[in-house]
Amino acid sequence: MAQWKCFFQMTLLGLVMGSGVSAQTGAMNITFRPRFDGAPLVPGNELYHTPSGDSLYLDVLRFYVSHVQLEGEKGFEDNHCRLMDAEGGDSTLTVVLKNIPAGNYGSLKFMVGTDSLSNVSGAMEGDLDPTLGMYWAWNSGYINVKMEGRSKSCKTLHQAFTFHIGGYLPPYQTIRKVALPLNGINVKAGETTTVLVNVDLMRFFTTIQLAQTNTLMKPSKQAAALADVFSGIFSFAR
Amino acid sequence: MNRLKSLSLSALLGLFFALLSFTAGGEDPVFVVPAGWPQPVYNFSKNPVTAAGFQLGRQLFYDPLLSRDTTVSCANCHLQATGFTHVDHALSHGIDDKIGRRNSPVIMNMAWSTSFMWDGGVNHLDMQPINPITSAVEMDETMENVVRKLNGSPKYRDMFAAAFGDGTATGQRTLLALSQFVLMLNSYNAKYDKYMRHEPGGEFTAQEVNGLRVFRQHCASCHTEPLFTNGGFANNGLPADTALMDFGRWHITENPADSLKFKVPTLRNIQFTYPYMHDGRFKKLQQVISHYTAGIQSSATLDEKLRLPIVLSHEEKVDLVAFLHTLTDREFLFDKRFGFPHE
Repeated sequence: MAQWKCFFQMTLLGLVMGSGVSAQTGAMNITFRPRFDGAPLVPGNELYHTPSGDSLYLDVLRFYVSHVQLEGEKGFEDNHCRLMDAEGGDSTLTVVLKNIPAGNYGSLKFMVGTDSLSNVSGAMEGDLDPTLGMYWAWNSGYINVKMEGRSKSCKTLHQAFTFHIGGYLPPYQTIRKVALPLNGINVKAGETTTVLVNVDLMRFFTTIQLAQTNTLMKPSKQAAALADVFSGIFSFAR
Repeated sequence: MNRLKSLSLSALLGLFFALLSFTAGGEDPVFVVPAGWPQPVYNFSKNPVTAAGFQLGRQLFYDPLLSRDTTVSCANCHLQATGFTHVDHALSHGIDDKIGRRNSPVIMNMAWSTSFMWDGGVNHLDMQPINPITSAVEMDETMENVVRKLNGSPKYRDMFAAAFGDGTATGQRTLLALSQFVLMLNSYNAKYDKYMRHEPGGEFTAQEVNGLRVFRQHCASCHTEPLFTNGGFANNGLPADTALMDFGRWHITENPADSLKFKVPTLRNIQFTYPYMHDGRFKKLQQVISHYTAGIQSSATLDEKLRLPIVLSHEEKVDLVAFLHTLTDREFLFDKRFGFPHE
């Protein structure tokens, strides 16, 4: 009988552990929501207007998120590097975190971009596989943020604008830290909490004039400046 | 009876694994650190060289499948018999006979290299092949499409399975396999090496001995033994070609102090790696030496060591060339393991 009970407990423990949530921990989905002036951003066929007078279509929005940290009663850190892609909707815009100690958390921190170690370690797998179009061959390193689209303001081929923001070496590093206050998010044992983070592209495009600034494809002073701007467009929604 | 059965089963299994290792190319290649050489820079623990991985890398190196229209392989511009470079072409031609911007570099002793390409823009051996594969004037293909083509080939699926445990090609695995092949392309059996090791075949003539003396006095601070490069970058006084306007490392670092600086290349097998310099402007070694003695153009970023003139007599120049010829390593240039993989 005792043996049977023990077996039962082990099985239960196995089930709980296997699902990534144990008695003391919960899970969190952090979903990034691309916005333009508060409205959901649809890649490809929606025309958006900036206060600075540009109108634009955004075709591509991809960025890396790494080193996610939660601060509060307890602490939590996840060192993975994940590629977010607006093309795939919520499923490719969500960071899934498991085994978070249950409790209240007051702030969310993460890096936008890949850390320098990822940039010097040779051929990587998964979200860092160099086939994903987020790697520069001629000047080694990852593209941390990729934004592509079209605007009548751009006197370029197909009126395209291209922002490939990357670079890991001083003085033009482009990885940026983002810290967002959470409204006392509670991670409950055995449950999955969802956090929504808005990414308002209007705040990026308001800082530039697409007629003058429309093409960036290398590590540079401008890349570092635009990385600063991009890291400021995140906000906690709920 | 039962025992007999299990015995024959294990024998069968043994035979199976023996066959498996045979098809995978036998024993794993052994990476050698020659006596007196520094430890390699490449981290082999992350990508151990295996027989199957080496053979896959070799197959990829010689396969034009890597290019958009299946016309250009790595070997087009990197021929073994000439130290894995493209002789007779100042600038190599790639897809559709388009001409590149720089002289194709040699491939040898890459495990000791800290950066790659003439401007050092590539920071890791694994990542170097993405450049020629995706360059519009070389292979003009995407990595994504290369991986798709490899996954569509039963031959490659077998080779990936042998090298990595399952048959799926990924960008990472493709690059790791190419590294495994390239890492084995090592030259350390030239006459010079035998001279240094006091081995038969390494007897220097008086002319070669004097050439080595001249070399050590005037060249070795950048072209440092035993690799014959210090791995650094230098402006060696070549005026920028007005058609190319190539300022080298400046394009990578955006730092004007790096203007006109290029990677210091190895001099191993230099007898066969002509033409010389990043834009292939010199066809003969004598022209290279004349540049250093009479052609240096001064500029803000000119290397310190070239600011005072190098004075060499006619005999010293001849002896220096004689010495440079002792860096030819025929065992390496004609090693069948590195040649085209005949099926």
